[in-house]
Amino acid sequence: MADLFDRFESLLARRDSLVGDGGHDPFQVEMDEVLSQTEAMIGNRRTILAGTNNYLGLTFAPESLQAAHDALEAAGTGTTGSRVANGTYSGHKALEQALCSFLGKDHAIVFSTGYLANLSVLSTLVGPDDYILMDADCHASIYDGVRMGDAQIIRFKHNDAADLDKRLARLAKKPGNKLIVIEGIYSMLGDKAPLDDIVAVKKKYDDVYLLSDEAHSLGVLGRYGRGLPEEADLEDDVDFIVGTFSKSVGTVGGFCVSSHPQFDLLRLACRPYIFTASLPPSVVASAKASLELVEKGGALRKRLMRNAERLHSGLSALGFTLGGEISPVVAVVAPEVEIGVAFWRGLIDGGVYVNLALPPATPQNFTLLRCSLCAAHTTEQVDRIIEVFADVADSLVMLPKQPKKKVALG
Amino acid sequence: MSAEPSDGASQDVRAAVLEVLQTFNKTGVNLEDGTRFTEDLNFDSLLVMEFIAALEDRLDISVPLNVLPDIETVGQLVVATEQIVREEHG
Repeated sequence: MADLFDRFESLLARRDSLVGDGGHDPFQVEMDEVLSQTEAMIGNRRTILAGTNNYLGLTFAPESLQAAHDALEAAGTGTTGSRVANGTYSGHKALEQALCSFLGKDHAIVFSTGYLANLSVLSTLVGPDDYILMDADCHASIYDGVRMGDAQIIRFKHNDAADLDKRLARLAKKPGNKLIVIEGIYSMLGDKAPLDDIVAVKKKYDDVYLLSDEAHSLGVLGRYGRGLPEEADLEDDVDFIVGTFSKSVGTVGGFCVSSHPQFDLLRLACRPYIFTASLPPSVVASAKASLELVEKGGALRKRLMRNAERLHSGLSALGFTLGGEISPVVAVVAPEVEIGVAFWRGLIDGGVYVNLALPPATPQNFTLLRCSLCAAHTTEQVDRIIEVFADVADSLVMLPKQPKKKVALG
Repeated sequence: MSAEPSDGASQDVRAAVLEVLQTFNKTGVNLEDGTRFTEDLNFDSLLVMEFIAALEDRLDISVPLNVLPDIETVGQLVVATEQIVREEHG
């Protein structure tokens, strides 16, 4: 008899071959006790967290904790309803207003996660006669969002404005709006979009809009943390900014802002906005408090970048192959999947947590040991991360059939 | 519309698809209408992206991602490409 779950056989086989030996499973990590923004107990081991996207370390900011406590007491544990029913409280509107002032746009919509923000906007904003031109390395939520919608989907080569230009030129004679979709910082390798080149291409054609997902760059780039558009001084050229509260803002939730006069119409049309419960009041309150800290977070951004530079140069000096430029995402390229898994286990045994990212979810089908830094990491912690990377690279040489050059990851 | 020019055009499209595909044919299998991209040519998502981009450049067309889930074989791609060429270049 065929079982419903037979279709997952190849997935199971791959899981078993990679991590089925009873060793630590990189995809089933349990944080048994979170000690701070940068440390947790995993099993009995005190572990440095170097893969949490908690870039500014705001998860324990006293102002945000207090705001969450107050809202929890005042408005309860949840809204139990959708934004279009009983789930819009004064806090949700205040947060949307705060996003408008912070990002300098006329309208903002808050969604329940960053993933849902992309699903909402990308499935709804463009219709069957329109075109989405998306960077090939865009996040899964962008792929899922455009697939859920009706627009024609065209991918352009990652960070290649000339390739985008070529594709827009082919579409120029076709009716319909065109929406370019990029990210400020790409999550896997930490590289930035060439925003000035992309805006220049956009301006050559009619009916072209630009959406940037600032999930990993909000709070990180720009003097006030408004992301890549602020850093590149091109904020007016980005028509839609999508973002998340689950990285620099330190909680959960997503948003989209725009100055398009009709933007609020999306509230009537986005299914992932209408048919899901709104964020709990405590989350909304901490997001708003943290946004203020993001804006005032110049010193945090300096510390974050200092940590990023230290980790990048330390790992680079050890001979590791790193993907992308210096950014708070430092991705170490492993030569093959099996070495990636063994390396990840060596790091966790050495008290360092990073993300293991495997093909096909990675650019160029890389196997990545993806580190993300936090402003709250101390210099000692960053040095310890480098030291453990060096130790694991050394220890893997002891494994049979692993020539040293390969184990040194490059 | 007479059958003659359309047949000629579709021969061109087929030849172009096969020509581009041959440069991505790492397994060296014979390219026939029934050749499957995943099973016979070992295409993964990255290779599909590179191949489609090359095909778009060769024929100066846009191949939306939307058509790809329905295409499993070389023959199906030829038919879909012919339709796009007809729509775009008349």
